[in-house]
Amino acid sequence: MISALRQRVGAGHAAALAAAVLALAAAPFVLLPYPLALLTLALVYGLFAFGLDVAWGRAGVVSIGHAAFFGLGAYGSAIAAAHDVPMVLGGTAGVAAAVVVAVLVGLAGLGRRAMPATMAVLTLAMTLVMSQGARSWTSLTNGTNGLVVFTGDGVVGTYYRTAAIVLGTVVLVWLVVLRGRLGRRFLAIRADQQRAEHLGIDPRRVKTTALAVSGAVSAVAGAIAAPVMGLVSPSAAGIVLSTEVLVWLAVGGLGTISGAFLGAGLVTLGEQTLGDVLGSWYLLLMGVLFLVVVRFAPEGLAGLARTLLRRPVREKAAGGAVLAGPAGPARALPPVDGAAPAVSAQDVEKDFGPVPVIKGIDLRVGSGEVICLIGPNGAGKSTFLGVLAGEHLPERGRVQLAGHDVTGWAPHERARLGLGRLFQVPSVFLDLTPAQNLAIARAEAVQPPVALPLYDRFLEADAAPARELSLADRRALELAMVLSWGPRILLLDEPAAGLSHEDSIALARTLRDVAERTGCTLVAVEHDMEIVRELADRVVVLADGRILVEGSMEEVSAHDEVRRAYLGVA
Amino acid sequence: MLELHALTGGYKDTRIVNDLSLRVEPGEIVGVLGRNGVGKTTLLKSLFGLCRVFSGEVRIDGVAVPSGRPELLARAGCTLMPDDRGVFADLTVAENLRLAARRGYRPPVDVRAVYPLLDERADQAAGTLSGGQKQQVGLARAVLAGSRLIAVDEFSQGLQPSVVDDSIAALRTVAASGVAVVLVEQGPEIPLRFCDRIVVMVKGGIVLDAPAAELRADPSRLTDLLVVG
Amino acid sequence: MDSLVSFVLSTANLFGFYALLALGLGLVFGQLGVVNVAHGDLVMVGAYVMYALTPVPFPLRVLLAVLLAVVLGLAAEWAILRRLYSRGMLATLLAMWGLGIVLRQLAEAIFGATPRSVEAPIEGSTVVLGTPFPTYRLVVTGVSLAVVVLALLVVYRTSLGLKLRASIANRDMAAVLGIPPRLMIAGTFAVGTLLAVLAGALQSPTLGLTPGMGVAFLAPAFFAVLVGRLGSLTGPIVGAFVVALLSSLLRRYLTETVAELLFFAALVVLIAARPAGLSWRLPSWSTRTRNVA
Repeated sequence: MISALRQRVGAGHAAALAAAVLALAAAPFVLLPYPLALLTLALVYGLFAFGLDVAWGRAGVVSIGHAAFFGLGAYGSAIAAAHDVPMVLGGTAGVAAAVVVAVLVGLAGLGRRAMPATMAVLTLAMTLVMSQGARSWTSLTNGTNGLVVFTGDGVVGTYYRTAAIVLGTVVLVWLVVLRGRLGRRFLAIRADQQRAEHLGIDPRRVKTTALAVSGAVSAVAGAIAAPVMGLVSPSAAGIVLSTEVLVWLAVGGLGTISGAFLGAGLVTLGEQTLGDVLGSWYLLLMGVLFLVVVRFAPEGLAGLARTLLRRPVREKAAGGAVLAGPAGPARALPPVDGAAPAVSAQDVEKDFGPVPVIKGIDLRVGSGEVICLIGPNGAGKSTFLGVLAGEHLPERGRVQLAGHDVTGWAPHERARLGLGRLFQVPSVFLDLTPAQNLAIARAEAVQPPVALPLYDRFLEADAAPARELSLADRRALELAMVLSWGPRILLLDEPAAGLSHEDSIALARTLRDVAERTGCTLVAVEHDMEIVRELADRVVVLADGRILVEGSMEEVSAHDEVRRAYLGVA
Repeated sequence: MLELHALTGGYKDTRIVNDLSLRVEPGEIVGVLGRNGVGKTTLLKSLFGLCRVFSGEVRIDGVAVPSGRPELLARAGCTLMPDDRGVFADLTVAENLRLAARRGYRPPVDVRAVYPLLDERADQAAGTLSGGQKQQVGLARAVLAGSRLIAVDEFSQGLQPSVVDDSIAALRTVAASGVAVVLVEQGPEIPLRFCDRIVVMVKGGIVLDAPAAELRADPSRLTDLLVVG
Repeated sequence: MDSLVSFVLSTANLFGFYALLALGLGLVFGQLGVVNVAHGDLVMVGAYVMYALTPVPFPLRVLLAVLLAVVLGLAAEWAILRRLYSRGMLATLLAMWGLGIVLRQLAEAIFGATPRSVEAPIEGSTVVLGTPFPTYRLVVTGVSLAVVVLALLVVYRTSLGLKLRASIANRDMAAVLGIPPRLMIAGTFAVGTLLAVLAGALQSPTLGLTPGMGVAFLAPAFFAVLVGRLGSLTGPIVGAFVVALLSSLLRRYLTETVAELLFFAALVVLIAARPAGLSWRLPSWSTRTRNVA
């Protein structure tokens, strides 16, 4: 418990928290009532922006209608106040409603194949419906006039209550969500969804969770905003506020707590001071600012500060998440039927539109066996690998992994059976450092890692993002990641493509060594015959979507039909 | 006519074709061979600026063409049939051909006579054709548009032998009128039969560049670079 | 009978409006891969141009709005989108949302937040099958549908349309056949902008003008595009018909709020069921595999 807390909270964090508490506690002694009221509002809006940041900045889930959540919280408080019910109850109900809405929207719009545009339109619809509902359900909301909320706590009392809730919410979400397992998974999904899925992370569930947390925090902001604003009207759930929170966060900087509060604070203070002089032009200015930030400085003020302060790459890349997991595997592998083959495909057929690519493949790979798939271009090798990994669902036939029928399973579900995947274009978290890549893989591991000299050099590589590695190194890093994640079965698509001759041979030997030491089953697509010779127990030749021949390298290369398939000799 | 000078191309930050130079003369038929993954397709794509070109130049008649502007090469009479055939799936066969026809250029062969399918299926959406049929549409388009240079990736993929022979005859006629032809093939058999010159690539570079006649006499030099094992 | 006739006519009017919107949205998505979330705000721009230039004769005002739209479209593509394509769909989406904010706030700064209205150039009603219906709305329905038909004729019957469709289907290959990609991209965005502004200008006398009026149109227009196969051009028209019919039906029997709620519920269901769009045609394998070979 204590050690888990140590991992999440550093000395710097404790100091920052102490400074924040002191500053917030001291503010009423320094500020006059009007600036204090402004500060209260800025804190509430900052919490709202922080809420949006959980979805957009941390998990990459875009929402352009976030005021819907804010409005639910605000109306919860206001309606309770109007009916002489404790505001806490109303606010809590609003937060619960926000979570329900977020989960529904998330389930609809965050599927594997959905586009970001889908979420944009769904969340836009959400804010439109909420504000329309607030306008027309007059018996509850008093229509466009809105509900007046009066607490009689005075400026200072309201300030302290608000500051305490804001600080408490931020610390709680930061400690439990952002610094925990979820925060790491948010980062993994945002950095590279494909890699995250093949490490066993469910993208839809993680993103929906992010939206739900985000909606809840925004609703809390709305609930405490009601007495601060004094009047809750349909605009509290409307499109203008939805847009403004996007501006605050974009200007302040995504993925940082300070950015969210800085952006909200600056824009709110600016609105109070300049708004009277400039009127509507002020919001126009904000729109232009948003456009400029999106176009030229997508990292906002916080990003600018980070660049100026020359913070290390790894700090920016991690975005506040703790990448190292607890010792030991994150998930236990399900039991294996010892007699079942590691991989089994029966009668698999796959079409792309009207074009049949795989026309019936039957293949069984024994546990611990190393097989290579070879064949001319367009034979269906990569597609077949994709069918095994769950990226393509076959039209007909069945796929079994370690005795489980996985035919309709998503990639992350197959990964949880211990299926590791390497791609033609190495899939690693490009913006993270190599050491961070390995840390995530280990934190999500299904079995304890095997000690291999291969990844020693990456463990210390923490100065530059993986993007800057050469192709050969990126491929090695991908392999190191997947191996330290503890796979039972490994699918590799042209592991030697783009490597020099020496590197490819060394790679083949490493793979051979891994297979022998861990009993891991290997299925590799490879063109380089020297590697195939070095690696394979059994060679399977595909041509035109079917298995042409299988056997040892000698048997296969002596075969007439193979020569014909490769050389096109009639 | 066409000159590639120290061309390096690839995708994102991966270099696949490395510092490659090649000259093709008018009327010449050049076959590009090599095993899977050596960069043949990327060579053609770099030539037309359809992938990332890191360095090097493409020159037509000694004049460098700015990279990433395939339409300029097209206006100069150079065209490409990519390995996915690049057939516009939603458009009919006739529309596909109409897009390729050039004002003021009539190829010396009538593509509709070479590929009767073009008339038979004129109003069918090209996406519903089989692979081999799409190949014929792609080749016909290349012949119509390429008044100076025709580059073809995976020339014989999906074609039955008789159509391969007809296509070869058509390309020979076109080449005889001064059009340069560059073909990428998987197997050596077709290029040996009808190319003037054969270029073999390994790992993004050219390792063999010889007249086809020479290789016909001694094919082992070629097959050693291509065969399994 | 009475109510049926007016129901059919108002559905047709709505169909004309959403067909213009969805066609533009679909064109821009097909050609640029950009989801133009400022599309609704362009409708607002069209309507406010009509309001601002009130003394000018109505048809001339529409023409001016269209000219402004072309300039706006070309400028926005050049200044905002051009360098964002490589940063992905999310970046262009946010940038377009930024454009939407700017347009809304600009309208509010110039014209204020109070609702405005535009006078119809044709007064009175025409009796259709015994039912009186505002003449101007009949005319607008006719003009909108005529523009949609004209746009489809250009797309499917002219060589420019052929080039456009080729460029949408496979931009690289179109470039290899001499169709300049940058021109097609900028042109398509300008046309998409034009269609939305035109829709706003034509419908302005039937709408209440507020700076935020446009955002409400975005979700139905997007819905219409989603109903068809993404990237197809007849799909959005069919989708617009579905949207017009659905929202007229809902509004006929239910209150505004409940109708809107059910409409968005249908949207959620549609998106959850078919995230990449419904397709009733033979699916064609359009995403080209980029083999590293």
